[in-house]
Amino acid sequence: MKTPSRRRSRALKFGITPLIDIVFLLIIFFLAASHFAQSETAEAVELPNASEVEAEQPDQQLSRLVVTVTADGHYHVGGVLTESDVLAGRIRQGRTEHGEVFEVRIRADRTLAYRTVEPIMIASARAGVTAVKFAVIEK
Amino acid sequence: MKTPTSHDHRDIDADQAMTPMIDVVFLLLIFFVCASAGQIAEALLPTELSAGSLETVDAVQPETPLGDVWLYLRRDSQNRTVVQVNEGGVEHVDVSRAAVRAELRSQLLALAGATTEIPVILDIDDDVSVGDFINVYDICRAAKFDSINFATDVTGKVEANE
Repeated sequence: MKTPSRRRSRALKFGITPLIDIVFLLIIFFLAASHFAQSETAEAVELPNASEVEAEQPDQQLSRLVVTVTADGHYHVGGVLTESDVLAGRIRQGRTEHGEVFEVRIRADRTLAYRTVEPIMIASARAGVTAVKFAVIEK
Repeated sequence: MKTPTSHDHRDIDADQAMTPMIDVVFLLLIFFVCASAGQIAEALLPTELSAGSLETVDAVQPETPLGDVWLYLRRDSQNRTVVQVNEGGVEHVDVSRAAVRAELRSQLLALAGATTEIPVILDIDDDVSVGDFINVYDICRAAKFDSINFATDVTGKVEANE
């Protein structure tokens, strides 16, 4: 009987495990990168503190508009810089598409002046949106 | 020379396969730990506006608060937020301080103790910071008032927004 040589046994090995390593690594990387790129909370803001908070309802994710107001006073929707008139249009559009369940969520930096937040509240009221929520850090 | 048996080969393969698997598991573990540690959980402070009321509600003059509680938020010369409870009422200077917020809270709790049906109207100056306005609104919610409104100035006059 022929004894298998060391050379042949090496050639028969197929390294599928490192391949799976790399594939998983790439999947995780792209998932994480795309999540952070399109996240509603991509812009870092210093949120105000509050104690009378409510928990987030997971089923509201599709019928809300998250507006981030950064410390420089700019509005961002879905990670995109948005002008105030465009923002008002987005609120009206959301109200038309989703009806009464539509809500506007404001993520505003705590150091900002009230004048930067008030137009969002006025635009929401004019569009018929009753649920306006402020993102805060629970005390 | 000893010829390696097929049993020995299987043992070696199994040992070699464990190491990359542990690599992957640790990699996933580290990734999820890092991803979760970097995020601060956000909570929500809800408001309920009356839709489309800006153009329909009659002007409510702040000078004659009949049965309402008006909270005037403004900035003073030293850039502190001052909260005045009703026209000519008590002033709480610098609500960013916990002690001042406690005073305001006790006053509003006393008002709410009589009845929570008194509408509270927040008249906020443009210069007041979001952090201070959220603090005051949070105190109003803690006092369990039924109706907390925001005064706006969209047409040159102050109107109730809720």
